[in-house]
Amino acid sequence: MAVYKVNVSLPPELVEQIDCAAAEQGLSRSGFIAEASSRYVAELRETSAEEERVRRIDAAIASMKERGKLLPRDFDYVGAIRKDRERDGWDGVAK
Amino acid sequence: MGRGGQVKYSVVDTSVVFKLFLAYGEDGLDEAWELLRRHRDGEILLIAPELGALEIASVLRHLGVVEPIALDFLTVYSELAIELMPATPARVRAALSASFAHRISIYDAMFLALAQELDCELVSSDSKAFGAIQPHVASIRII
Repeated sequence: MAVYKVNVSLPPELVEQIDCAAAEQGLSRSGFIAEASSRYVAELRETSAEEERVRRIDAAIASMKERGKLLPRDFDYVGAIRKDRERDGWDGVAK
Repeated sequence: MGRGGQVKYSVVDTSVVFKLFLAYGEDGLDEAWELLRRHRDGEILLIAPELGALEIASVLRHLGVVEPIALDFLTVYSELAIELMPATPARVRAALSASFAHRISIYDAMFLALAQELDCELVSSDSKAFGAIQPHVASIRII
């Protein structure tokens, strides 16, 4: 795997904490920073995906209320689904 | 979905989806909205057999809804992010056995078998199909 060398500026206290935690994990400073950065990027992506999911559901809920007005008020949807499902010949009565 | 803990599923029957679409003077409507709110907030994940999407399309066809509107309904359904589970051979076998065991249609049994597989509740508005299923078989909530 190709690696890039980057120069970053960090507060000394943070570097100390990183080195301490890296030692506990048996990682080099670079390895630790790479792992931590990778996890943070994944977390940001997951948060973004969750926000998008919620946004889409909210939009769908708003649309549902509008679309529902196009259906007849007395629509027997349970009966319509039952009719569909009983096409396998099962009408609730054993033959 | 929420991070960390195990995902909690609820199988949602097509009848509940239509209840939400109609959203008018219905018994159990508040419960249906609450179910959807929990799904939105990541507390649960609503799932259904793939059959669910076909049923919505089929009912809309029977209603005589014109194509663009029917397609629009399907888009909205898809945006709800209800996870649709494929009818694998194992699932169809489980559903077939459930249909014989509980004297329900194979299509009803697809929903029941999914709830059994994932050990979660099945939420429906169809008491004829699921009202007689005993609690030890599956957790059924009629709304």
